[in-house]
Amino acid sequence: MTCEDAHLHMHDYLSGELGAEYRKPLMDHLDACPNCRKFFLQTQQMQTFVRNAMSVAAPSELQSAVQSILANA
Amino acid sequence: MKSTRRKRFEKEVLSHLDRLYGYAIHLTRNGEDASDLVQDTYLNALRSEKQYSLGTNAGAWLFTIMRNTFLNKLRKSSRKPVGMAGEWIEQMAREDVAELKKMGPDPGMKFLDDLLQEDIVNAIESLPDEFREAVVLCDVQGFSYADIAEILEIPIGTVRSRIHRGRLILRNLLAEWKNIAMGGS
Ligand SMILES: [Zn+2]
Repeated sequence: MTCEDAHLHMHDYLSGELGAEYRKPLMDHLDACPNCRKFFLQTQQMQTFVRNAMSVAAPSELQSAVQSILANA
Repeated sequence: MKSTRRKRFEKEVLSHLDRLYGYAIHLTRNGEDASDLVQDTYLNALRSEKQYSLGTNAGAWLFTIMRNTFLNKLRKSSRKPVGMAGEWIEQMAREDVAELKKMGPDPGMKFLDDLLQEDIVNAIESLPDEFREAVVLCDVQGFSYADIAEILEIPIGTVRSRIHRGRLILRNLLAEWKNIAMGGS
């Protein structure tokens, strides 16, 4: 696997979209290639940070408002 | 007395409230507008309730309704969505290759450790809409490429490349800010 392929596959992997047949070749490449491994770990960390930073809960007033929209329809 | 179908419908659509609110904040960039958009989305969903088959993909269905509701509002007002930022985006996406080559063998994991949540949110907000939406739907909302293709009404291949490139741009933005904050590389 080339570094270019590894990049494509790691994005799909992080999206939960990488086909099972590509997983082992990707992991083997990451084991063998420090640059891709670094890139992968950083991108994975970024994904976690983004998820945590952007996740929100609807305010309680909005919850009530939506519940009454559904109840009164 | 409500029908069983109706009760199940309510339960399914309500379970996506937090995600919808998160996406609404993202689209409107404002908490108050976001709450209005969520309510309008539920009203519109109720109007098209018959189009929805129970137990299928309520998330993608509701997000599609929300996005259309938002775009309709936008069309009525004069506010324009942020367009393509042009050359710097291309530049950001290209720099990745050069950066990869100059990186040493050290698999440094502390890449983002010194950044604040605020920095991350600002970086995402500064992405052009087309990349931002795809990255948020994938990395924050956890939708599949197929769902995102349905929500954004674009081909799956485009979804995939926008997510890849959006992450690259984001990553390079954050790396740049971090260098500035740390006083150089
Ligand atoms: Zn490699």
